[in-house]
Amino acid sequence: MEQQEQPSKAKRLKIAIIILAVLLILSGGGLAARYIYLEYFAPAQITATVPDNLIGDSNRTDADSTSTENTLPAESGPDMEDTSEGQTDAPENSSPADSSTADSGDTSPAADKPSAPVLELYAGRPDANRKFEVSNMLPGDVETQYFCVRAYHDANITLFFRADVTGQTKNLGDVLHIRVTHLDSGKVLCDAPFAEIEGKEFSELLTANAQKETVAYYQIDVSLDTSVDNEYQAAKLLADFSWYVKDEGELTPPPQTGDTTNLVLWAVLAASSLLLLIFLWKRRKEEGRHA
Amino acid sequence: MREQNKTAKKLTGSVITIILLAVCLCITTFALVYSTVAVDNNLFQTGTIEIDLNGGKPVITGGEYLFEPGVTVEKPFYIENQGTWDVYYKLYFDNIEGGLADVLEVEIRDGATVLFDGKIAGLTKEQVGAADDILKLNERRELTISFHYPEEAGNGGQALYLSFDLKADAVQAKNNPNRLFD
Repeated sequence: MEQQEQPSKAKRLKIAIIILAVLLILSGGGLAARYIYLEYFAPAQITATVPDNLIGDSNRTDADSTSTENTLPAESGPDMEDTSEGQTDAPENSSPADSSTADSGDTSPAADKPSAPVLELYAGRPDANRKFEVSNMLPGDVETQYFCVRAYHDANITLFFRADVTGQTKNLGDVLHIRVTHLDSGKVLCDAPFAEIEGKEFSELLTANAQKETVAYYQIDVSLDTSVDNEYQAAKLLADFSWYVKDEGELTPPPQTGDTTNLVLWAVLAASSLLLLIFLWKRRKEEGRHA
Repeated sequence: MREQNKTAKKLTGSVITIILLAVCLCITTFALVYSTVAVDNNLFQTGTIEIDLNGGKPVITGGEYLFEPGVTVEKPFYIENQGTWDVYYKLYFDNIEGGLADVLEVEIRDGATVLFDGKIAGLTKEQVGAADDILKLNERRELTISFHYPEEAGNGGQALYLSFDLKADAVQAKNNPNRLFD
């Protein structure tokens, strides 16, 4: 009886392996097809815009530039030029909002084939997107860092933010507070201790626009309340911040940026192929033995 | 027996293969459906407030001096900021025992500047405020404590004793304009 059951078990497992292998090949194929499409066949999107050109009345630009001045993170020039290669430089004191409009009128050099992720951490400002590292925090401290996400999309998309605590001592996450604010809209995505938002998703709707891209600046404030006890002295917390879009249907390929590598894709494909090869080789070997 | 072992091995191999394939499938599916950007390993560390008061040694030990009217004893000690930020500090007496507490006059000085003075019984945690100045990061202050037996006290303090703990509290100078200790 048992001997009869075992072959049927093995048969079921074989079927499961075949189904999974087929699904994996389809999935890998899908990824590869998507990559190849983005790399070689997707239509180029190149828009060259030099915004805020002005002949005559200079009052308009003065007013425009001062209206958003106060929301600015500190800025220094050189990095901006480095990271927005080929783009029109935003005015030195422009706000995130300003840079958004300046960037949306992309002046990237003409490129034949678009590639690069449709969602990227956009290093348009030297003080944005750096790893947020704070030491020697004391009760009452509020530390701020700016992050900028650029999404290419032709329809409304929901952008998600998530903070994952990857390590901590003395349960610092119970008292270390994080507040994420979208600078342009003023919307507060989350405002709570790390322990409360850990792994939760916070979403925001990015509406489609004529430029087919949105540059969203996020201000992240991390703070310790003055009531925090001595027990949290010399404590630390490590966290990953992620922004993501779940459905790529609305996302569009960006203009060529020069970065054409997609390491994850190739690594996954290589690993799957290797696994399949090993599996097939083992099976053949066993079949050979039986024969 | 051999056949059974073979089948068990095959089954284990198959199960492992299924798990690996499933993991790969999950990864590729995630890569297809999600577009993610991330800033990893953001680090937040808190500082410390720590002070060293005379290395934990007593400023005066029993039988060291014989107190009588008019006698003043001066002893040096130090306070050092071993934390990671400037601090406000206060020195006070705790666990006070003995009748001399109401007789001896105490003065704690930083050079010529008097930081705290009065009867020991009046220099407790609740009654003493923060010193006027800030103890800066890694700063070590050499202080002097003097015990004075007033002449006018007469012989009323004969055969009395005094024991106490000299303590220091420190609190961050940052974000603390009112020098609050608790």
